[in-house]
Amino acid sequence: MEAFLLSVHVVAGILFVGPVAVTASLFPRYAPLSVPSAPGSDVRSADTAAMLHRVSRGYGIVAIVVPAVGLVLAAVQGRSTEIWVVVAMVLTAVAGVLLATQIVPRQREALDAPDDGTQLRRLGMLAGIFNLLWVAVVVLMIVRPASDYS
Amino acid sequence: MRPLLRTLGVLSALELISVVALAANLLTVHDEAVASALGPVHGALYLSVALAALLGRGLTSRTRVYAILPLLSGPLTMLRVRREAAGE
Repeated sequence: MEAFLLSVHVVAGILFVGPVAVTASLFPRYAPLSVPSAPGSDVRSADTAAMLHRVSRGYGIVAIVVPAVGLVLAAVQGRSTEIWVVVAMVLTAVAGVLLATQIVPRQREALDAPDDGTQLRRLGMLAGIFNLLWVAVVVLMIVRPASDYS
Repeated sequence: MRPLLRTLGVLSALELISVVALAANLLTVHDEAVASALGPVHGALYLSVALAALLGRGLTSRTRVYAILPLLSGPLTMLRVRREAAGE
């Protein structure tokens, strides 16, 4: 049971969170702008950006599996009060809420009403924070500070 | 009602249920297994309500402050969500 839950947790983390980390980072590069940029060097395309937005949103929703299974796993293993689990849960919640309330809605706005790039720079910053949060969570899962198990 | 408000409403309702269940368990049988299972679930729900209110866009500051109050964030947020939806 523990092995199964752990497998689901890790596979879902790689397959669902991974793509969101990539699409959220790529979106600002591909999203259309209201001002024309240098010809020849421009990769911007509304279709590509819309696809990246769909992946960010869709995979972001199914990625709820990762913390949900993680919570069950921590309870089954009796680790739910260990500090590294608690810190990881907080960071995961911040990352998930950041994606749902800031990144995805701002992507939608950037698609609906392209501007001169101001909102895309903010999106790039938010994607960076989102990815850093996941790095911190994964490191916590491996290092497990203050744990008897590692 | 905006999706953010609907989500906040649902999450805060679940949070209220979880805290009531925790309190009921504490006052009656006080089962350790129930407490250790419900505790983290309630914590996760509280966190998601608080963070959604802090990071959500276009909420009043009163809603944000109420949502981070431990124990009270469930009922208070349910109330505020209704107010904000009515004011739209």
